[in-house]
Amino acid sequence: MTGSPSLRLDPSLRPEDYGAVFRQHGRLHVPGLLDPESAAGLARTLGAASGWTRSVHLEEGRDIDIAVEAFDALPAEERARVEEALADSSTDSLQYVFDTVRISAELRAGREVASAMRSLHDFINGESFLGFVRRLTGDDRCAFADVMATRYLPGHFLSAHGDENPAERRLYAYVLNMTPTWRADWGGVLMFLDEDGHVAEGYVPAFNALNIFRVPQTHAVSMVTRLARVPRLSVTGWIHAGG
Amino acid sequence: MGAPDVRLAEDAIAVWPRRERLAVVPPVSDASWKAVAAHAEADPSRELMVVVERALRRQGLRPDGEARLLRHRAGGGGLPDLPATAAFGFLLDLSDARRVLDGGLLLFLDGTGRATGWRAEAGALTLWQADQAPQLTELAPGAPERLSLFGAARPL
Repeated sequence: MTGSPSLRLDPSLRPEDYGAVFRQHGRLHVPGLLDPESAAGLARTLGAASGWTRSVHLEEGRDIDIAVEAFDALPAEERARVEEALADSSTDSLQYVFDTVRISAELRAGREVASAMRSLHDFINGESFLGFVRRLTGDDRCAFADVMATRYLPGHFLSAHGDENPAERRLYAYVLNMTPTWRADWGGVLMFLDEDGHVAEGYVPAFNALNIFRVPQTHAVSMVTRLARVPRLSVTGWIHAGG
Repeated sequence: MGAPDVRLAEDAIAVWPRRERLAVVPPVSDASWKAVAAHAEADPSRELMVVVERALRRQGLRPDGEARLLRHRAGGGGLPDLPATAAFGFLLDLSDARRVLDGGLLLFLDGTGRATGWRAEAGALTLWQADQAPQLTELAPGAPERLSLFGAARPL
């Protein structure tokens, strides 16, 4: 793990200018969120991060959340059963598999997180970022954010879902992609689906680009393909209204 | 109250890519395939081509050379190149994908990383300009086979 990065938004961003588009479409792609030095530092942090958890959701009540090393140490037959269940295309329920460091959840639970991850959490929950989101969305209810680092490797995906969770008062979801170079044919596309299940709009991961969208909104992340030469790294979570 | 958004009908017609659902798609039997591979090719049946020709004609187009039947299986993806002289490409879906996570999406990218696209729907014909060819994304493990008819088209 590298040292704690000092993160700053790109000072040239004018979130008010995006407001009309965001209010009309309910989603927005903002390139160049962080200043270049911050972006490079955060990319190094994520690239060197340890403590990843393999997070697998097969269906309601069937979750696997274990250290990647422990998952890889499972008997081959057990891993094959998981792969088989994930390949069941007959289900419409939420499914996903990816690696994560659940920074906010760890902090809430009183567990230690790496200092760089704590800095990231504090930045996302600081006035700089939350104020940016308030001005962009025109929504003063934005009070705090969940933060997790995610890592998608080949075969990882997130099936269609809307992020609804009334109990948590989620207002917006965000994804800050931090893989320096990504190709469209590597998959990992954040896709927004129309009522017929087609791709109304998708964003190929772009370094230091923020995707932010209103909740609920049906979206998915396409499977990262075997062609991907690097992990799809991002910082993601929800912006919540206060209690 | 602002000015109304007025557009000529021709403006809408000029939008690419285009997609339409055909009423009937003739069945494609497994026996019609020449080869069994991730990218199988076979001669499309005459009746299938008649359907495609009619659909293309409605768009002011006609086939340009031979069309090819494609079969993609889990792990497969991609489209063959169109001939260098082709003006348009088309893909007629002959099978369904229930959900986008099955892959096999026809994704059009705008050069800035923004995408729009469709999952497979039997009977849907997608047309595009040759210089804006889509990706056909990799099919996920467990996804059903994706059958389609692929070819080039040119103005009537």
